[in-house]
Amino acid sequence: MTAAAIAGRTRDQENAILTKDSCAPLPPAIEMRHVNKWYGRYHALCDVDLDVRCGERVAICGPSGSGKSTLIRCLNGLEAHQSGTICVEGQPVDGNPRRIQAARRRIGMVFQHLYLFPHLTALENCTLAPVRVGGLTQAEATDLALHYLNQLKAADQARKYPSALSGGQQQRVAIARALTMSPKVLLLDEPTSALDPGTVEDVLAMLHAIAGDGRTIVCVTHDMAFARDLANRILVMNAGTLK
Amino acid sequence: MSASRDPRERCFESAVLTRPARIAAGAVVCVPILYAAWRIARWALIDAIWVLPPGATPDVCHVASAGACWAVIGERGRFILFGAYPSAEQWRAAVACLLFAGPFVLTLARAAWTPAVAASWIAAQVSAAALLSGGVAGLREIPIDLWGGLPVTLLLSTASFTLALPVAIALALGRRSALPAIRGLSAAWIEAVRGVPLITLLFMASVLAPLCLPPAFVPDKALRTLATYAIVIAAYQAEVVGAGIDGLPFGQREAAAALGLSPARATALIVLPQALRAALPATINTFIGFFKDTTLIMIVGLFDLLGAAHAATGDGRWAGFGVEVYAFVALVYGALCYLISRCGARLERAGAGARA
Repeated sequence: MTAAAIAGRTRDQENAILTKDSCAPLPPAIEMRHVNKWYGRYHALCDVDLDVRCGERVAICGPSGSGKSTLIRCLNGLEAHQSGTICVEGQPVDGNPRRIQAARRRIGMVFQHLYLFPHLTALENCTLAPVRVGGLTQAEATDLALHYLNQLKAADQARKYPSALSGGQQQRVAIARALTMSPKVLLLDEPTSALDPGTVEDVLAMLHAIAGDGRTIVCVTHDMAFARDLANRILVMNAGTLK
Repeated sequence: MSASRDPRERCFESAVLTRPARIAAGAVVCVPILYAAWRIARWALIDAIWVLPPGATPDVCHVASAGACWAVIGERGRFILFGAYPSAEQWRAAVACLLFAGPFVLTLARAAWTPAVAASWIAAQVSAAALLSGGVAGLREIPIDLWGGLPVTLLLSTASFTLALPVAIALALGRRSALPAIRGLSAAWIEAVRGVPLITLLFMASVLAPLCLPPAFVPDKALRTLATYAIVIAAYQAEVVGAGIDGLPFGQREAAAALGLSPARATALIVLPQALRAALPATINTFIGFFKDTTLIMIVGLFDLLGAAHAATGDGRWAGFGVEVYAFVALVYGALCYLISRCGARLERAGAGARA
């Protein structure tokens, strides 16, 4: 597929989403109030307040070490914050493992280093959680996974192991894996850091395609151009504070 | 030797040897090897006595000019392989050994390690033990004291390893537990067992256990030995599995958590499959090590392959042929260890496709 075709498709989908993008009356997808986090004496998050409406696409930019990754890792409880409150889709994220577990059911995450499971095929990576956590049968989960892999143009890689896939293909599988749990909120940590410009364009098109349906995207990135193309709101983080 | 005639031999380290120096250096290395090989070949092959002539006694082997007396293997081979197991029932011991070929071939043939392969090993052990002990399906009962040789080696090594593996996984996870009590107990088991020589533990299980426990609770000597091996192997293997767990990127656990998997499920589905695969070469190493250490059961009065061979050399008529008997046993051990290592290599290759 040519770059022009992708760009065209992207614009079409952008328009489709913009017309649909009207779920403001719904409760906010993410609510952070006075969140503080320290690593020892290092103040990683300073009194962070963040409100993300349902269906919004937010990009968080900022220099390395400014706390961007820490912020989104706090959102699904991978890091514990020390003070303040975090609410995702109405579900408080605090120290309680059960509540964190419940919040994670509503949150998908794509890691900077992807962390695909190397001992499972691309398809198995995508069906594991739906079967073991979501309670789907293997057949249902396979259908669901193939649907997303197909949407992300990676269905022909489904039977391969991650080590046999290129960086761009691995990225598609990682996004598909996060989507199979039908998350309301998708967190992306530096999704373009290891990709060439052509693949970045693909990822952008993919993300626009999967946005909508009230799905909220929070993306941490260095790449200002990518942030502009993806988000309808860009926030800048610096030394633990969000602007 | 001739090499000393060439002054340029001093350049040996420079690796720019002249032709005569190369020839000389070759001679220095090769001549002793060829000489030794010739001596061994003369003893082992040319002057060897392969079978006893009809009606002859072992005395023909005691002639000074005679080489290796391989006839002893033919005459005493059944005793070396099966120990004191009653002659009329030795087919059972032979079949018990052959039973292990099934899971072995299955392990080689499977594309990957699956539960079916593990089940086949357990089935082979149970059926081999039943066949040896008898008392079922109309087979005469044979007490464990009479078992010996190869079936004991195979059964003890595979059964103790099979018992030890789940314990090793539990110990490795326990040592990394968040609960201090579990962490402490696991570490204590591992360090205590690794800190004591195996032979001491076998001795304790054999002698001390009957002294310390009420008679009704003392298990059979063979079971005590099996349990001792399982406990020791578990301690060593726990560190092997632990290294596999520690080698995983922490992101694997985080990715599992982010998908909503509980810590227990993340361990079972994400961590252990990868850790055990990474630990496979070291696991084969542990198994081969303990496969040979089963020979220590001699000190508690059980007879494995080496024990039976040792007993075979004590036979009055065949005394003095220890070298031949031990060479034969070494060959058997060498062949079996080679097979195990091939089996391990095959498993490693099967896992390689799925590795990052």
